[in-house]
Amino acid sequence: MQGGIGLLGVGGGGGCNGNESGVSKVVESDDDELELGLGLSLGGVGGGGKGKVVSSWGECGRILTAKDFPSAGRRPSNASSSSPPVAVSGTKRAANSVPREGESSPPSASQVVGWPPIGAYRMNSLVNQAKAPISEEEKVADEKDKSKDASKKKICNGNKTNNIFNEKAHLGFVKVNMDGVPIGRKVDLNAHASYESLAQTLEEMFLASTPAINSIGGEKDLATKAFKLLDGLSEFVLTYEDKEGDWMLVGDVPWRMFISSIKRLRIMRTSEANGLGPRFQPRNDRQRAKPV
Amino acid sequence: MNYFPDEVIEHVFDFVTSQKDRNAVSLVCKSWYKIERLSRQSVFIGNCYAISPERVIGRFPGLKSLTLKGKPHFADFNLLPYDWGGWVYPWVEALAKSRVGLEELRLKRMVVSDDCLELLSRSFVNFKSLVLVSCEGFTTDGLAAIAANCRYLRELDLQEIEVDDNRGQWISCFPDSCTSLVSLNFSCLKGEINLTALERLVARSPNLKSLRLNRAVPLDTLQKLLMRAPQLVDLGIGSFVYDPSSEAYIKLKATLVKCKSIRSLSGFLEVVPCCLSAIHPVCQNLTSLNLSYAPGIHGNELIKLIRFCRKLERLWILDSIGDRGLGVVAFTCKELQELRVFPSGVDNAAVTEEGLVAISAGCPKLHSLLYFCQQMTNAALITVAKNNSNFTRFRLCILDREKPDPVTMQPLDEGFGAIVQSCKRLRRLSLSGLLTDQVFLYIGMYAEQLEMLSIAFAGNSDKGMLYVLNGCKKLRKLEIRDSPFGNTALLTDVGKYETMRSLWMSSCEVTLGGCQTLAKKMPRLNVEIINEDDQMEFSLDDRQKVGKMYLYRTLVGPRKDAPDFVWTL
Repeated sequence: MQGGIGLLGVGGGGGCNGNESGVSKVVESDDDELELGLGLSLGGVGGGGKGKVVSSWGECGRILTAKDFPSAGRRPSNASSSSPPVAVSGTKRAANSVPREGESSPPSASQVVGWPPIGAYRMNSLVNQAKAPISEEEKVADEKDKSKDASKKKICNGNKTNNIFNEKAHLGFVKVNMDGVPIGRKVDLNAHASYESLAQTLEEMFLASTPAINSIGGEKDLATKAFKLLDGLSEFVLTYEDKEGDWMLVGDVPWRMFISSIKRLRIMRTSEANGLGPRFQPRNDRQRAKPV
Repeated sequence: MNYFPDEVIEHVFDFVTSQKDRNAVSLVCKSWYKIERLSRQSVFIGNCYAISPERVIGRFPGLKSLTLKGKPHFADFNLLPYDWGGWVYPWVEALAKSRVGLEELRLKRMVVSDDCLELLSRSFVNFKSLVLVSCEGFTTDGLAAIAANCRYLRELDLQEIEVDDNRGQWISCFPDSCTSLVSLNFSCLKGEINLTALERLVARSPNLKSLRLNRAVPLDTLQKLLMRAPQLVDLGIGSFVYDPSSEAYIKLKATLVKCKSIRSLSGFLEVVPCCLSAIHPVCQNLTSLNLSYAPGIHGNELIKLIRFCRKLERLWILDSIGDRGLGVVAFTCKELQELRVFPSGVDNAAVTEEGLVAISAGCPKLHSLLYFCQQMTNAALITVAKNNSNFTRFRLCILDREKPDPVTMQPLDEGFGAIVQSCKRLRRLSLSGLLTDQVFLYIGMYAEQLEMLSIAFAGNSDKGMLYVLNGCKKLRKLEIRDSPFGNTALLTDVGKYETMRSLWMSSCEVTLGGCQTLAKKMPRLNVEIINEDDQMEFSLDDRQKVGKMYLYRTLVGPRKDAPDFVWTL
């Protein structure tokens, strides 16, 4: 369910991860305010199955720790017991932090900040190694026994689907710059599982800087302003530089593929990103969220 | 009191090198205190906020080498907000203003800016050595300043650093007159590097013993570098990707054979595993091998490599080695003293208790262990304790939090209890798995030399923490997360914390009121509460549980650089 939060249309592939796991961004039907639940609820539990809900747009939820999640019933917990915990990464200041969304994860594994206790640098490098293109080996392996190498290739790069660090890495900050803004920001890609959530975070960082946001009226106004980064209709468009150094439009490829190839983000003026308008229409029709 | 002139005593003190011993010496009498402080050259500050730079400089005017540590250990795991602190600029500034002839600066978990590096490079004529571990905040511009201005630079060592802006020209900033390099480690840098400049630098550094390259350095450059520096003792390979039939590879093989001094090998940040045979001749003499950043080396190639390493004393590896691979290590590496097995993140890679038991049986000299594993049993730990009572560092991390012994479904209290009982020289311990208060009872009873303890998701009640605080007399650092220890445990023996460097508690049961009580009673502690959320109500409710508390003893009161979200009570 996309409604109410992403004020943006989202690229088709991007929503997948979030949807599979029923990301619990929930809108209380009787409230005008947005209720954001931090938590990953399987099967789309309504009412924010896990974690705390916060009542206003700008305020973030309490960052969850393992104490919120029951483990063999040993620890006191005030949350329901059914769903796996969310990977809440990053320990940013309150002013900068935004509600974080859980990533999809196999039900047996659970994620918590700072676990396993591997240094951030090491974690990052393992994630990046897993993302490394297989082409390195393809270059040189031709003379060798192909079948042997094929299986090695898979393992060498820590086969993306098997490598837990791809998904569970705690640090994956990329730079974000916006045209006309001299000071850049950084955003943690591993805290997001979809384009929608990423765009929302970016919007808050760059475009939603006034206190009016916290008021109910403000949200509605904001929603209708031309700040939708992903639908191609606003003044700005979201682009990224990939590993090969090319600047690409955000939203074309599945989220995971995006994550594995992105180097940094740029919020570009639409006028500079040529010929982008019409291609967004079909996605928008399907994915456009209703304003709050 | 002195029967000898001061110069003689000072000469005697020259032989007293460890800081601990020198501290002891300085307590004997005023005269010895004075002689010691004037002759001290090397100072270690375990917590940069425990003392001010001015006071350090005042006491040790002859300071040449300074080691500083900033953020607490759990900052490594993202438990500390980004700009909590640990800025080193004030230290460098104070040192620059004074007449200290700084030659060496070693920093761990501190924030270093380019300006700071620039100031450092310009302020100390004889500056020789910069070692940065897990630091942040600078770019290669700062490195360029160091390279350009430190005329007698011997050591530039960067470990586990995320450097943002990577332009490889900093390496060209070493002037032609710089020929003094002994150690250069830039393996963690991510960007391109000027290869020609690097080659020329190595060519004019006859004393170069340690060289660790980043992944931007390709194989053919490696070969050229090794030709210039066959005297290398420590080598970190960047990229090891090549075509085995190529001339570059054949040349490399020949060159490596000539490098008879290499004792330490690391890196392989990019690797084609099928042809590691070039490395085999080097393996025979290796005492240290770090393949923990080389997931590309695994399986049979890895095992083949290990079989050549009979003299290995230190091994850092990924868990893709598996229990079988550890068996090979146990069989081959009889001199092994330190083993670290890191998780590779690959689902089907794993080590279990079997690997550890094999190692403990096969490697009698092993005393330092870091072991990430899928599971552990009490029986295995008891066996390990029987096989080996030498452990000084024992850090076990079972990846599945609070996992019990899979065979008996019991907590791992008995297993860890056996370890602490057997290993009388244990100084550092990290626990994991399902654990009750019982394990802490054992630790309090037996771990007499324990200095650092890391606890996560363990224990049942305040008793657990109290056993440790009461029993471990030499405890210096205690870090606890997600364990049910509360105010009673925190407040029972407040004097204890002045005997320790620091205490970290996050997601435990301590409340704001408890922390405030502690802060009031102990003015020489900084009790910092780290607020991450916009908890405006926080200040009003004493019963509110504290998310993160970090307290440490200090001689200089609350720090003035604490950001908004840190409250010093």
